[in-house]
Amino acid sequence: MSNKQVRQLVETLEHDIHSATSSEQILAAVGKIKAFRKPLVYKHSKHFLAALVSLSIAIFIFVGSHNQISFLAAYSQGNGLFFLGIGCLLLCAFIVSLVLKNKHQISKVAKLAYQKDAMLDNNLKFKAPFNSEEMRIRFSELNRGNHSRTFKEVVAGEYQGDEHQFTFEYYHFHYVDKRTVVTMRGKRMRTKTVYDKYDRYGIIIPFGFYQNLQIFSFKIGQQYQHSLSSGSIAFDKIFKVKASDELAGTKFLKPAVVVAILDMSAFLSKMNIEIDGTGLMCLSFNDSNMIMGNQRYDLSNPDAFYDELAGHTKLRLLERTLRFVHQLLKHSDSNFKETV
Amino acid sequence: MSTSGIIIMGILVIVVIAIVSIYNGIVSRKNAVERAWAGVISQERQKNNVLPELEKVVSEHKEFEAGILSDITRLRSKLGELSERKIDTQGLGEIESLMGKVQSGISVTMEAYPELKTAGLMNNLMREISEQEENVGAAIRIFNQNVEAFNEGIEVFPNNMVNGMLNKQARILVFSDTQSSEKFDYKPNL
Repeated sequence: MSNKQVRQLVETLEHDIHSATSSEQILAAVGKIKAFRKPLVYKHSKHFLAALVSLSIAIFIFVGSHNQISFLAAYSQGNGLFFLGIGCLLLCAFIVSLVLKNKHQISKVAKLAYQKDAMLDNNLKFKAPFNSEEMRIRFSELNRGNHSRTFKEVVAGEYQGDEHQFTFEYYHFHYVDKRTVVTMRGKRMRTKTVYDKYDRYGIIIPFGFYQNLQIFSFKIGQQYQHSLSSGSIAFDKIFKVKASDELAGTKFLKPAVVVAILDMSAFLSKMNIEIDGTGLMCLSFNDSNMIMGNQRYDLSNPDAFYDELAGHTKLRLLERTLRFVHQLLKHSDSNFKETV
Repeated sequence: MSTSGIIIMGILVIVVIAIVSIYNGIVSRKNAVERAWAGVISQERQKNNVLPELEKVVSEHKEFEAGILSDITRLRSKLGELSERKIDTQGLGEIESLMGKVQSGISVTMEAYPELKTAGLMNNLMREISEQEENVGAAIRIFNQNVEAFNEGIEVFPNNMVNGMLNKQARILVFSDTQSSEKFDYKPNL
């Protein structure tokens, strides 16, 4: 397969995956690559040879001319050989970047196929980003970043547990802190504006049973007056609990809930739980891989990649997190609402 | 005051601060253990809210074995014996074992007579019992974790010295499920 054919195939595949609305369509698109019975890779032997030749020329020129004349002198004298050497170096860098770009293009399209298939397998759908201002007011967790805050991605899904069914929205939140740094250069004072960029991830769930509660291991603005202790030394070492109603907060922190949160914190780093005044829960963390799955193959092995896509892609961290939310719901509801 | 005098004073102050902080640490971990035990008792006592209803349902349906009713009665009396002030892991073990017996007796009957499952109250009772048992299990886990932290806090150096001289606290036994462990041949060499 020529490089031109590979490029065309990759572009067609990318287009097909973007327009796919079912796992079958993604499989059909990858199936076209599989039909070639060859790995989808660019041939770079000529590129490597050209890069090697141009690098050798550059080294020859610089090492050779260094014996006779210094670089600065060669540059100031407009020495033609010097510029040829620079040209060869630039050519070498260009070829290497082209090779890397081609490799990246193929892995990017495989990643796209895998991600879209994972989303379709798990009934997840992209939706419009939240209004960051509204969310900032609802949750202290999302009141971060003094310069800007945006939702890069919002994905909606549903969970069906033994006792509760609920909808959820997974989000990727990006925020920027702006600060001024003062440095001294000699006797001169210089100020520089620095932008620190951060990402947080989370799940929004209509919880309903409790309101105005914060359980956090990663610092957030504390909204409620009552500090609660769980009774567990291990839990209290990691989490702080704040609630507007002490009794309701204590009721929420049943032993099974405390243990479930403690266990979940082993899987989610810097985990926070916040329930707003309307009973909406925001479970936030630092892990970026919740809806990514665990991709093992790509288009360099089309058969294995096809088989990987053909199976149901399990998003284990998402499943575990939703089971955890279900556990919280189960221990917050009443089992005798209708009967007793 | 001479330099060496200041150094000695400084060292003494640091030692006193360390002793006070170790002493307070032991006290607060002991309190955490007692609080966790109270949590276990409070979760166990939640059973009192369900057992009368369960007793009623079991006595109304002749499908259940008579032994279940007597186990429930024994369970209620054992629950009354539990005290928040005295850490009694053996008494707790007996209650957990009795509860397990009641639960398995009810489950066996419900499997044999599926029509019992359709009774809404029975289903809700079983769900409530299962959640309560989960909470008891979690409360026991928290208690055991706190006990471990406490025991470690009185045994490591130099805490053992402070404890020996000032706190004078003894190791607390963790709760172990004897019924479950009896099923294993393996016993850790502790």
